[in-house]
Amino acid sequence: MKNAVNILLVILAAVLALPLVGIAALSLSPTYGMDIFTSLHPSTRWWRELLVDPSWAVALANSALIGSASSLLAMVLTLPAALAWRLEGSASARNAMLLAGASLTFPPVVLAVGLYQTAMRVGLFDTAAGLALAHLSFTIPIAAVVLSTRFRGTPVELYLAARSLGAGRMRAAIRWLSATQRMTLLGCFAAAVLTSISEVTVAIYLTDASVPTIARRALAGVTRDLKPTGFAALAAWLILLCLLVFPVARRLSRER
Amino acid sequence: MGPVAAETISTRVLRFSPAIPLCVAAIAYLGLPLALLIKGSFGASEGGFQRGGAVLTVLTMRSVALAVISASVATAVCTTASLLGVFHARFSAFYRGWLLVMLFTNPVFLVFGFSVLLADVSPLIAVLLASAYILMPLCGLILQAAVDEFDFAQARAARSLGASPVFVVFQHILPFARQQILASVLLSALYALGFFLIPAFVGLGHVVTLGTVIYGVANALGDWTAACQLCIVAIGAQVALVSLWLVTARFLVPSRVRS
Repeated sequence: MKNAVNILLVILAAVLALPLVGIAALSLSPTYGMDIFTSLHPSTRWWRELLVDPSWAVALANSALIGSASSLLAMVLTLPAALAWRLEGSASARNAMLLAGASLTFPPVVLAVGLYQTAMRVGLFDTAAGLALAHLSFTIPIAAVVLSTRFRGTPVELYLAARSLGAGRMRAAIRWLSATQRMTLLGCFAAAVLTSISEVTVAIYLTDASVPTIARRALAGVTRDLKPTGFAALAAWLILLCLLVFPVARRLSRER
Repeated sequence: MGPVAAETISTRVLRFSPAIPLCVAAIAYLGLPLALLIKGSFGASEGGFQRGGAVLTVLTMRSVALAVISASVATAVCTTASLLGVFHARFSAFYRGWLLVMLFTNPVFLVFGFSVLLADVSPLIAVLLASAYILMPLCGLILQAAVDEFDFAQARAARSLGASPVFVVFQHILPFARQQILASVLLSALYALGFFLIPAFVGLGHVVTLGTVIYGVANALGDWTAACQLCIVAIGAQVALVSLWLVTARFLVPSRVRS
């Protein structure tokens, strides 16, 4: 029985990890195709090109800027409702959070076409501001989910005590946030930024050449360049994410 | 208006005020685009409703079937991984890390990679495999949240009374998580309904779905009326899937939670 479970674990780990490893390995291909799997001479030419080609750095900077702006705005808009729901038990705040999260149930292509129509009307097509505002349809639901989940697991006695001692709603809520939720706010911001950076559909519909983002640059790699430089970018991104994420995952597993 | 009534109204406004910014934002990023989408769908276009009911039905059914199958495969893999993670801490850490890495990896790179790795596979199978893999982080997050909420004292009690791990999984954890399993399949299917890069690049254009047709009429032909009309069809499919979820989910609530 134990052997069977171990074999299943190995198979499952392979199913999860091998495609990522395989795609990242394509960045070491000496030519444009899958030669890395047959060649004995891996090449770092696509990694060198990634470092030399400024378009990838510009795309990452743009995506990070748009993601940060969208996430910050999403948190400013979501935080009052999340606090009112948790601390005051406000039903209207709960309904607003549910309404805000409804965009998650729409196929992204439907949202993208609708947001394109909106952006064209208000003159925000192919602008960084337009994309940042459009990304609210993903960053707000993420912020709503993260904040409501983390707030639900935290006791509110500190807030109630401050209120009973005469502190105003705002002051007591800020004290409660700063005392118990600093990491939650940081984690929520990071999750929203990364969601915005990895969003593809809306970015493709709402931008053209003026706003080179990671999604746009990667799509250009597929449709125009046809170079495996994109695989080097992916491999670098994966290495960075693994360094950041696995310590967090280990901690979460230990807590369980 | 008496002072009591005025105080009641001001209290209500005060209670509602934290929700106002979020409601305004939701109207701006969801309500307004949907209204403009509906408005844009009025008009004649050969690429939209004029394709005919039969063609649109086949296209929608094919897209929904593809999305549901991919979502089911992804959910099956993620359910197995979450359940194995319960008994194996190191695998659990690996799986959680993998979920986070996948969640924040731009899918365009994966589409690009799968189009190379699955070049020799039949287009339909390739699209199914690539879609399932890209859906896994979403499914995994929903299922992991369910497994994390499970009260493991129940499992420990069952084990101390002689139940095997398989019995605990099938009689305790799976019944507890079945609502989230359904949510995982349906939410992922809704997300997959809009995929257009995977059928276009991994399926080499041989697999035609709602997403690819919308992308084609909008970006290649510039026919936004047709794109809006096809989006209305996609919303119809979405409403059907969400209704199915809402109707079936209430029967899947674990009995002790329901009581």
